[in-house]
Amino acid sequence: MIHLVVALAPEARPLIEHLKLKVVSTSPGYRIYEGDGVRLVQSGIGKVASGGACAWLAGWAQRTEEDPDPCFWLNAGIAGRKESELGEAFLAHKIVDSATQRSFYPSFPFEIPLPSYELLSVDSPSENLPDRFAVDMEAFGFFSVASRFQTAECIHSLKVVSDNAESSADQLTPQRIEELVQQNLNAIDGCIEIGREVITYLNQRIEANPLYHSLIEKAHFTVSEKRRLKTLTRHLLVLSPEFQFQGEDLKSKKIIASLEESLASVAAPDYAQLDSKVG
Amino acid sequence: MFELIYVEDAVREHPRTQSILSRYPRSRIIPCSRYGEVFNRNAQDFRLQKQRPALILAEKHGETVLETPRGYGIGTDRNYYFSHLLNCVYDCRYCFLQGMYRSAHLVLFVNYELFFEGLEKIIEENSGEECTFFSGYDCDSLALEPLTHFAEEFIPFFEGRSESFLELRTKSTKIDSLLKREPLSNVVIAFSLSNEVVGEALEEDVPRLERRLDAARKLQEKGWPVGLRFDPLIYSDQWQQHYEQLFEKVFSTIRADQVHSVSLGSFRLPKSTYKKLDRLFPENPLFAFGLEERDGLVSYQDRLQEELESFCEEKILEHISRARFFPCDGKSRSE
Repeated sequence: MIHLVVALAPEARPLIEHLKLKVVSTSPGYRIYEGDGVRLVQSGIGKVASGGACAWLAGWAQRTEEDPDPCFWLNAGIAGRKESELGEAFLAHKIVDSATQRSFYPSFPFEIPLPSYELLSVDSPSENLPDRFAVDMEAFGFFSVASRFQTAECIHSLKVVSDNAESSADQLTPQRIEELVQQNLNAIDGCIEIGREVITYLNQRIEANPLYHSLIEKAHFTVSEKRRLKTLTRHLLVLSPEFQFQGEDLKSKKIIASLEESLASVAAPDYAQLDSKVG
Repeated sequence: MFELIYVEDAVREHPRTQSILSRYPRSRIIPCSRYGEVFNRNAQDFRLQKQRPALILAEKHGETVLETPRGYGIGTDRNYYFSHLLNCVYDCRYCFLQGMYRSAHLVLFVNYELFFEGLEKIIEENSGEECTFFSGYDCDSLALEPLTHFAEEFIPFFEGRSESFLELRTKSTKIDSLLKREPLSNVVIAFSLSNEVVGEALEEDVPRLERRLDAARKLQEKGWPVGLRFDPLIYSDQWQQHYEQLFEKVFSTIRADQVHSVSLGSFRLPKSTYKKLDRLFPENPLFAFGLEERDGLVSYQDRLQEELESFCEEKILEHISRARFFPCDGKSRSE
């Protein structure tokens, strides 16, 4: 699932329309939109609002999904940057909180499809843009909270330059913001596509372990026994994919002992037959 | 090519940093205060990062040269290691480095000067006693040589210090800088070798066996002491056949009588590292078959380990004298 976090209504509108998202939650707090593997929450302005929206969205997803997929988090919106052309889309490769000087470093396990810059998250709008840094008001809050739920490879901030050395932020209108996002839908689509690929990769790693699920119902297992059962069944399936447990009405200890015995008698792996080097 | 290079502010102007950055004019350079901000952070996915690791240029602080764990050596009583680089460009499934750090990025400490001071201090402390320094403990010693010039810069330090040995442990074939200079009898180029089935299945982005052996042969011909490291030995279907073929190939390519040293050890990992790797690669049979924990180390069950090691030892000793053979005592870790 892609989680899009945007601050303003004029940033959200073109995305909701383009991605054909529908409202799925209107409960007090934040409105959530969803469609075709993408969820969007409109946070409002500022780090606290953005972080709050991330927490809200993650909590909502955990409540509504039985077995939540990994998520790719994308913060999309506008930012100022002195040296950039208006309308330039970029990704943040370092996010600095102006108040504390703490930094986050998004991690890129993919070819970076856009220019990338350092992004300074400020508490209040300023007319003076610093050298080198892009400036926004949300990314640090977004990253702080999203990184509680996902690793740095899956949390990114895509910004469109809305003001620069020649054009100040106070000239921005909602219509102009909407246009800037509209002009960069391709770039946002590209990042969503990358996110989907990352999620696919992560999903491949989630172990299917039908043996564990079938055995866990057969007896009462303590917490440590459950852990042991999970490892044993996984190891057995890795070494002997056709393995089937024989035995009925057994206590947990007997099941575990029997699995240990089975594992001890499995043939050594034939690495020439190993499917994928990734494993 | 590194698409991203993080540079600590403290080394931004260091000549080695400048030289490295000039090789990558198209990389994105990201300043950071300390490498730990990027490297040691929570919430990183090692496997995802390993697909496109970044380079981090940093300054080393504090102690640079440390004692090796007991049982790690090639003939001298005093053994030390130092790491100018953390992590490896190669991707070997059995390697403890995958569970060692949270990040898969490579950290290069560019202030080699501090390492020279550390080496000097240990050599003085040992006042004339023989000691060996291992550089390939947390990284591959030569894999990034064209970038780091590590061997090129460190080997001259060992000139005229015949009581001090340097082992450059590697799977790399980047040996140009070694072929260009006169060999030193106290610098050993040690190649890690696996049988071809294991190499094909569990080593990614690593030069094939033939290429490694070819590099070893060239170095031998040039006069460099060459070591062979059969570590880790991996138990598998038809393992005897695979290892027999490996030894045949090795000793028909390089001159056994000129081999400096051979070491050998079966697959083993500290318990905590094993657990990390088993979680990281849940579908890999390497972490599922025939292992047990003994004294905080996970390794093959006694019978399997004994079979593997004694078979390989016997085969190796057909070519190498026992004086040059250094079986691992099983207390250290697989590389």
